[in-house]
Amino acid sequence: MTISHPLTGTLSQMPALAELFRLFLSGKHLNRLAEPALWAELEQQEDSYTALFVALGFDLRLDARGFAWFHSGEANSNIGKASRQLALLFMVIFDAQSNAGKALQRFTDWLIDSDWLSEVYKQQQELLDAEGLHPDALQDHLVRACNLGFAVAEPNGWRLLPAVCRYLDHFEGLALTAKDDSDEASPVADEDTALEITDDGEKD
Amino acid sequence: MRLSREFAVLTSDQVLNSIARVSAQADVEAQGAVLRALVNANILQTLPRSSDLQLNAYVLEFVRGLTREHELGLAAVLQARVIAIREATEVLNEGMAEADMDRVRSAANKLAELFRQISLQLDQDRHALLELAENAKSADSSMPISQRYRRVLEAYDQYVEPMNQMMDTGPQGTFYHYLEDAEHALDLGLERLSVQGVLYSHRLQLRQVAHQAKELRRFGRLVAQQCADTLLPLREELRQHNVLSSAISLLLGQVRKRGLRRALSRYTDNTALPVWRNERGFKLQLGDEVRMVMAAARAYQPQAVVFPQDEPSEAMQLLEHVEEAAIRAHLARSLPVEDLLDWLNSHYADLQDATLLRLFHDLQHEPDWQFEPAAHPVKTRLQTIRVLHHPHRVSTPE
Repeated sequence: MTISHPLTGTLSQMPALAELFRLFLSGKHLNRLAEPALWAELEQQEDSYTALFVALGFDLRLDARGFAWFHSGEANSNIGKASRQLALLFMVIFDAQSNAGKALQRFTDWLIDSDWLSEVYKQQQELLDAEGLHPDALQDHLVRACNLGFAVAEPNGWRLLPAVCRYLDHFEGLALTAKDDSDEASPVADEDTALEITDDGEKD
Repeated sequence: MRLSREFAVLTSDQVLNSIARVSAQADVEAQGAVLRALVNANILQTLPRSSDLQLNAYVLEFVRGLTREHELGLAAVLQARVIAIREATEVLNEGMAEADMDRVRSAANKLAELFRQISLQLDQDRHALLELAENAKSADSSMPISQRYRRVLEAYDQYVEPMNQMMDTGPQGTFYHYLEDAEHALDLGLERLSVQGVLYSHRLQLRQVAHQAKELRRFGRLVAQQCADTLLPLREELRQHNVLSSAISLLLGQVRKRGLRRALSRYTDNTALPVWRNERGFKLQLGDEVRMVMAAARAYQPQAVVFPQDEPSEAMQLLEHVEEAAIRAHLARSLPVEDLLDWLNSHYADLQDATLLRLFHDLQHEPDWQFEPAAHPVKTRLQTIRVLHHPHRVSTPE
């Protein structure tokens, strides 16, 4: 039986297809910095990969800053929670570096080790405790970030990868919306404060 | 040379040390001799009221020219020279109007000198700016960003901005305008001089200066462009740094006040909290059974099935031809009948059950006959079904 599908020719030019698919499917981000060979192949055959993945029901996104991922609009609550905690982890890391006067755009240069992490924890202890992030949990989250392609483990610490830009973009977007809201003093903001009060009441 | 960048004034010990570094094999006495020779040649000058030494300014300038290590000049100096161009151009125009060749020549000389100085300064400034940017980029990234980029930002505000204003080709840009005026004046002068017929050397001089002016205009634009291209990305990096850090502190403040989930739940236009699918990679292995199915599928031979030609059609019976008029006539002759269904069944047993029942119901609506149901139900067995019913007595009304 001969397969006379137009994809056949293309498939032979995609030797890393299985590896890429497995990587993206597990929710991981591909970073040019961490996996240059895979990235090069993906970039060369970008159209073929995108078309193939779309046919399989996946939305492959490539960012010019050097990372790619399977985009997913919604996720279950577990993943939402994990993502929020990662967001908080990145926030405290960036805030600490910003206080130290480091260039935030060069976050891929930073070496994050456990000593430094515990220092970050001390800086934001109240906030992190309130969200249930203890020093060990911070490290666990970094390990998780490694599995998702936001960071890479090194012999004595971790390094952030360009995929973190997805979080940074969102932070800027959120701050912008927050500023707009406070400028306009929109009813949404009022509603939020009302909710907040009832929440506090419940807690008491 | 390198020392002189860090210390404006050198002590004799410092100089001796650097001499020792350059020529290590020389003994102390020989090094002292070198120092004295330098001082005698006026390369090193002793400062008044102290025994400290300073590099001769001309030497310093010359060596900097060779190694392209310049300090960034002042935009104001450039501005002053640009204004001087305007004055020289006025003098040139006046000289032309009065046909005073001496004034024309001296004005042209002045312009040439100004052009030379300006292009020299532009070139030096360009190298100084490139070096600033390189230093900022290569500086230790653990150094606070504001400190690393302080000189770049200063250079941008104090030099590149005013430069850009000067180079602006619009009504604001002084440099471009004055230079253009000077160029016009020179071209016009050259033309009139060739019409009037003056010494060839005079015309040549004017023409050379005019060429210089054209070249300077091109070069000036180039330098301004290069400076902006070099410094803008750095400035942009700092700006983004500030945007990001303020965004993060704002968000952290919200998390503190409202909790993480609420702080991050706000809807934004273009961005979203990154989420991912939770699908672990799975493998689908086809069993050997599938191969057998495929083999069977490849060896498939369709079996020939003969279509039945003429079979007595059962379907015909669904629609029976019933001669209802005949049945009514028959029933009318047989009246009175004690049990209508029984009667139908006994006389027309070959009809289907459904047809028989339909007839049974239809006949009951006959207005000419009288129907009386019996008090007790009985069972009547038809072809395939058994019917429990009250027997209907049919008779003609009295």
